[in-house]
Amino acid sequence: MTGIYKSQSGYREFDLIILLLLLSPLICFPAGDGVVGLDSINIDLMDEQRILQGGKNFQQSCMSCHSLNSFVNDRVAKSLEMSSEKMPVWPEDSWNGHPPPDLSLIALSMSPEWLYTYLRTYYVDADRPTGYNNLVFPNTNMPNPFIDLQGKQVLIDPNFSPNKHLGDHALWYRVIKLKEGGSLSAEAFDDYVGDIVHFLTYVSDPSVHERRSMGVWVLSYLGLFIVITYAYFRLVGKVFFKPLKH
Amino acid sequence: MLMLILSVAFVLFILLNVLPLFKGLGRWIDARLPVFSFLVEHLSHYPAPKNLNLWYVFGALAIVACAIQFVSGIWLVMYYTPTAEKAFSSVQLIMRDVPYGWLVRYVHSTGVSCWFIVIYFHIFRSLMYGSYKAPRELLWISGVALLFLMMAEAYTGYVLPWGQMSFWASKVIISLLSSIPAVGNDLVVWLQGDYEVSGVTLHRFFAFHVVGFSFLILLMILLHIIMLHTVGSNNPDGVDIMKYKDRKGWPLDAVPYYPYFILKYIPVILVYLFVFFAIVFYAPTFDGLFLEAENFEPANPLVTPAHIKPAWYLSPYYAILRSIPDKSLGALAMLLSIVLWMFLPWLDLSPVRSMRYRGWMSRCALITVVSAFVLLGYLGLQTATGWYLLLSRVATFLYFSFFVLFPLITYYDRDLQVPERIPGV
Repeated sequence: MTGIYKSQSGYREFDLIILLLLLSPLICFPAGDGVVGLDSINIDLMDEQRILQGGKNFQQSCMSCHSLNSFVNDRVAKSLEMSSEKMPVWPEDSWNGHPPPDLSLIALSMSPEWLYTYLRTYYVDADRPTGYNNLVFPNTNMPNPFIDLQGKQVLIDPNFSPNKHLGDHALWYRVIKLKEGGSLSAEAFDDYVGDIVHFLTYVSDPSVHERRSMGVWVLSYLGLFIVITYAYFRLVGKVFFKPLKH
Repeated sequence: MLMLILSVAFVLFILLNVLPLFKGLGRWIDARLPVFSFLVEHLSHYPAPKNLNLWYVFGALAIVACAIQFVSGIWLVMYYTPTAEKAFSSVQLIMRDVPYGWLVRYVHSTGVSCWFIVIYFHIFRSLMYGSYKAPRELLWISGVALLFLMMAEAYTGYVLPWGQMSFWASKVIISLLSSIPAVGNDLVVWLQGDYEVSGVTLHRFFAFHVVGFSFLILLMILLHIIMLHTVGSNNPDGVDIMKYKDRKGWPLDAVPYYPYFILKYIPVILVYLFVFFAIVFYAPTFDGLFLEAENFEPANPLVTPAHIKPAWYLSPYYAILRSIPDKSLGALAMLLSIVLWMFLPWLDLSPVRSMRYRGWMSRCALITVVSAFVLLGYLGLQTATGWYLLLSRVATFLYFSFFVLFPLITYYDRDLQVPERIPGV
């Protein structure tokens, strides 16, 4: 009889855990349904200079229409001299009922990659009232803010229609190209937009610096206690558990 | 450094000399309010089966997770404003202008996801070791009720930030009630306090979240623990430890909870807290799974989001709802997907508790229903079209077939002989 018990106790719950672990990655990667693929951007929120530069770019290119109302009490906002008086205010019915939204949380509700690609994929489209359309956000109401800096981009593919979903792997620069350069070179323009995206990512969650520096301490403290309590369990616990083994 | 060591030694010296004086006070209080003997009985002298493994830590972790939610919740209520105009911006006030407000809010938002992870593992452990079987039927039913209350609490809490997904998810779920015959539509209006989901709805959901459901959860946890400590813990072998007792009535296969399991579980609880705070400090949105991107946009009744989805911990039930073409039947299936679990103690006809001594059919049934549940959880977050819809129908079918087939499976399955005593640990 003992034999059966032994073989049965050898049945490992780990089989089931492994099964669950195999299934769990499915949950973490929801599939996308993009118009075009998004460019990756490496956001370094410890780069204070870049965030400040992005703030200046934002004031120059975006703040005439977009507000950052939740952000005005932040330390970075104060050093950039952004105050609630300087934020634009739009009546509900302006811009045909679509006033420019507040951008305090835009990097969280869209994503830095989305912003970075969206801001760089305007192209000439005579059918739009603003004269420009966008690859990432088709038929956007926002006029192209970067005509002077970036220049004019045009469609390469004449069969392309604005509402066509090309999928997450489609490259936007296979669809449009720069026809007339602006005052910035292509690299300098990417940096200019990249700075804005850094800034907006910081704006959407300014706790990030405090979080990361505090996290190190909290996790080290917990880590230390894990080691101490585990060592105690192994060393002292052995004495307690000894009489149980038979 | 020397000063520090000396001062610590001094404090310890004083404490050790003063403590015995409190013993008398403790006895005095205990004679009038048995709080200390209650703690001793339930935390330290509780007879725990000696073979409890790591799966049994999830009960303790659930208490820890619950405590985290209550404490962080109190601080959030201090700054949150439950009106349609102010709710969204008051959350931003907490995140930005309240000192450490971001910490409290991220602890609360990460806490709910971690609590559900812990609870789902806790339930899985009960299923694996047959902890729902006699004499623990009521304990199991109170657990299912707790899951239901937690879902209600999570749902009402999800509405409070008043983002796009808060608004639209609450609209979808409330509209399900309208499928109840005769009283449905009136019930919806009564619950909403308005003809549409509005600031009035938000305000009453705030009341449900902060007082109503949280109070019921506390009460149910208390009942759950009282029931557990009346019938005693099950164990991985499913052996009844109450059969063999020594002369003092102590079960031969049990050890006191303290020091054995407290000592064993404290490092595990700390590991849980380590993972928890790693998420809070370094990935609080958890790639859009713990805090959804859509919910960072203020609620707008005029713009429907392209893809309405629930929080991940409710997505399996949502997938069941969507997989059935009829709205009323879907809502019924969603309700049944939880309520049916209450009958599990009577659907299981096996004389054996633990999967360790069950045949392959019962094990396959468990693996199938758990896989179907996980798959439904994934599908609930996707758009219900094409293959996804087909898969969610298959998974829903498998999920419900568990309840139909389990009595047959457990009746005909070839179980092994369960030992009288717990085999050597």
